[in-house]
Amino acid sequence: MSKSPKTATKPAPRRGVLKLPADLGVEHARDFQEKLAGRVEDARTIVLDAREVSRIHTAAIQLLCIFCQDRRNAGRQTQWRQPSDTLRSAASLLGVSTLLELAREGA
Amino acid sequence: MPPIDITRFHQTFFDESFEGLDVMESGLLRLDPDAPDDETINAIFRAAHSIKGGAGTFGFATVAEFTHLLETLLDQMRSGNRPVTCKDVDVLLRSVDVLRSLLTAARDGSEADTATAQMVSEELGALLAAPAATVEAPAPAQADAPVAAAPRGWRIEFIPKPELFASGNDPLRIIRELTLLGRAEVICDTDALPMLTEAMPEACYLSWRIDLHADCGRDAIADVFAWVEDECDLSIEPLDGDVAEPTVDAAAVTGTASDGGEQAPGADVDTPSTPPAQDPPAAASGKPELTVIKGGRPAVAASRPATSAERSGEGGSIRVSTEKIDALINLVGELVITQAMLQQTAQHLDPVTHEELFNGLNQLNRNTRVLQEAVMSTRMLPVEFVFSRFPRVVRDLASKLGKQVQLQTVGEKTELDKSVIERIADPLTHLVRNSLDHGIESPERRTAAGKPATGTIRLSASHQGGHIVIEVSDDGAGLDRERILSKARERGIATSDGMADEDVWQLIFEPGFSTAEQITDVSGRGVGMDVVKRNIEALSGSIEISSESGRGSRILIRLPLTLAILDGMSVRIGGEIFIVPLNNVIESLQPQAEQLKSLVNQAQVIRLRAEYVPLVRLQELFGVHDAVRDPQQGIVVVLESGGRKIAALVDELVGQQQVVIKSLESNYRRVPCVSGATILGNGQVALIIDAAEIVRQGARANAA
Repeated sequence: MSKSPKTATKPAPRRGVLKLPADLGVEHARDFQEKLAGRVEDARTIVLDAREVSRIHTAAIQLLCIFCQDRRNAGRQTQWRQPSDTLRSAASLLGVSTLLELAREGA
Repeated sequence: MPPIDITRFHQTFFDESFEGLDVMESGLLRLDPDAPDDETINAIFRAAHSIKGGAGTFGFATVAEFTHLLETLLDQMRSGNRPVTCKDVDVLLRSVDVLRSLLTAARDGSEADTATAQMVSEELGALLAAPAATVEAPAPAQADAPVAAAPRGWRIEFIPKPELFASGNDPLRIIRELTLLGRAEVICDTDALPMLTEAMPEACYLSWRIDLHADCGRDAIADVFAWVEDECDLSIEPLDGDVAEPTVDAAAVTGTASDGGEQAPGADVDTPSTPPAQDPPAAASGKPELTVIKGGRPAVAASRPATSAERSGEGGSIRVSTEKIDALINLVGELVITQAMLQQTAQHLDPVTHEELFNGLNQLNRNTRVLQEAVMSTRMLPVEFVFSRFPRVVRDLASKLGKQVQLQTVGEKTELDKSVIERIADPLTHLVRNSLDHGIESPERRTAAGKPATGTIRLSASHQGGHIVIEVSDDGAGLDRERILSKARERGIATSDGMADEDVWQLIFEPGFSTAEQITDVSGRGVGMDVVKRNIEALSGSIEISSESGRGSRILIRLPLTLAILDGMSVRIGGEIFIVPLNNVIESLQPQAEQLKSLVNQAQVIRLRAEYVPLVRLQELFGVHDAVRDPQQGIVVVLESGGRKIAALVDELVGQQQVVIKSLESNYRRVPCVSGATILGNGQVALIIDAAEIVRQGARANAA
């Protein structure tokens, strides 16, 4: 099943996926910030894949808030992919579901 | 990144929760309804509060919901809004039991006893629903301040300082705890958020306004913030509408003068220590920054020093899992074996030419021993861990049986290996229950006998040599010799009227022996002292009993300090070395022909002074072929267990040594008549003989 060489030269996808780690404890906040900073100015739509998030600290939620806010202010799109219950419940408890646009995200 | 194993946090939560339950239980038992002690109520409350917080965090909803009711009741007590009654204490004690079973079910993933939980939670609900008006003001000084019902809700402004995350706190946990109190509407203020590139990842820029619709006191909320009080600006005020309610409660509502702006950190929680301004209009009209519902006692002020005292006591220890300690002990065991092997190898060397090596080996020997003792000591726990359950057992049973009993405990600090502690708890409970049920008489009988109406049960622990001795004694009626003898005859046990008292008392260790006239749910179920004795013997311990009619009885349990090391006698049977536990060895001798008697059923006995002891050929038991068969050519070691003796035939006594016990069961499988194995100095594996089982078998074979 060889692919035609043309496929490789296709224009860059309009979406970039950022996979969130399972553990977003405060001890990983610095790494997480760096990870987010690498994508904050990405002009493509960034999809935050959060299906594996199983532990999260307010520090990480705060970084996500900043990330989404910065991107929104710069007119860039951010979307969620399968945010885990842990992430959803944390955002809801902290009252930032709307800011993170998690509320309108389906299951 | 691998997914986080949340269960590793569960274990800590369960450990701490069970400790919390113990604190609650002992606190409740200490609580005197006539003169309730603030400190004790606070300690009970804090324990309940932590369990609730943890249960909420880890998603054990049933535990959290149940604890919530409990906590509410305790909160009313500690704020002085509810007098402490015996009934409350009873319900609270039962709640502790329910919580324990809920937690156990959550931990083991087993089925929880929801029926009991439901029943007790209804009782708690009923207590909570009792009108506050029935509550008396506890002190005349506060009589003019009527008790306030909690408002319908609270507005909480929570502005963390940037360093809040760095101190290990998480607003998420705090808000989650708040939601356990009631429905929370959370509004997050994100105005202070910087750009991502400028943000400090561990600084907190968010703040919150939370409207909590909950029927709880302010203290309950303040407690949620107890850990962050210095790291945030916090205000807690009743939701609009509550303060304006035309009730007398307003008189108890204190508004602190503040313009609604910034507030000094922690000021809110400390406020009760400042004299409350009795200014209802200010509370009703203005926008009180802080409101305190006062019920007669400076509850929060009283709770603060306790919290700090509790915190200061935590500094000296860390929590380490038993597996880690066991692994360490195992390693030290290996080290001991290696050291012994080196020592044995060196024996063949010339001490003069290898002086330095010998010096080094001696030093290694000393250090290994010290290390071994040090490591073993980490497994040691004060016997208090077991003793602490008895005040409750005695209290419950005494009230059930209509007896008056006081419990004295002595030597709670005596230390004992954790595994022994765990396994001694049930036998001890049985003994205490027995003392209470059968030993201590009713108050009337006691008074008639010229004794104080209140009986005494005494539990004491002390070290004696390498053993710990635990004593359970009572000043009750003592054992009834005649009744035991007649019961024994009924059960077909051989007795004689001339039996010594000590032998009569031993009869109660016979299987199924119970002299209780009536089978109660307390004791006398037919399983009893024999089970106790077997348990103690399984721990390589012994049990003695003494009694004096009308004066009480005394049961003495002697246990080894640890189950990891054994004092053993090494014996040779054919080409194999076996270890015999030294505490089972009575004597050893080379029998003469006239001491040996053969019985009709091929069995042999040895006459030892006035008694005949069955001879057991260990080589047959263990299938060793090249061993001595003629007792006169070998040595017999007289072993005792459970009051019975056998003479075990071995080829040779090799020596005495401390051996590190390795479980055969967990490494291989259970082998009859073998309790474990050890590695000898020369690297050879030796089996440790299960003396109790051999004695049982030998005695049975002989009787057949």
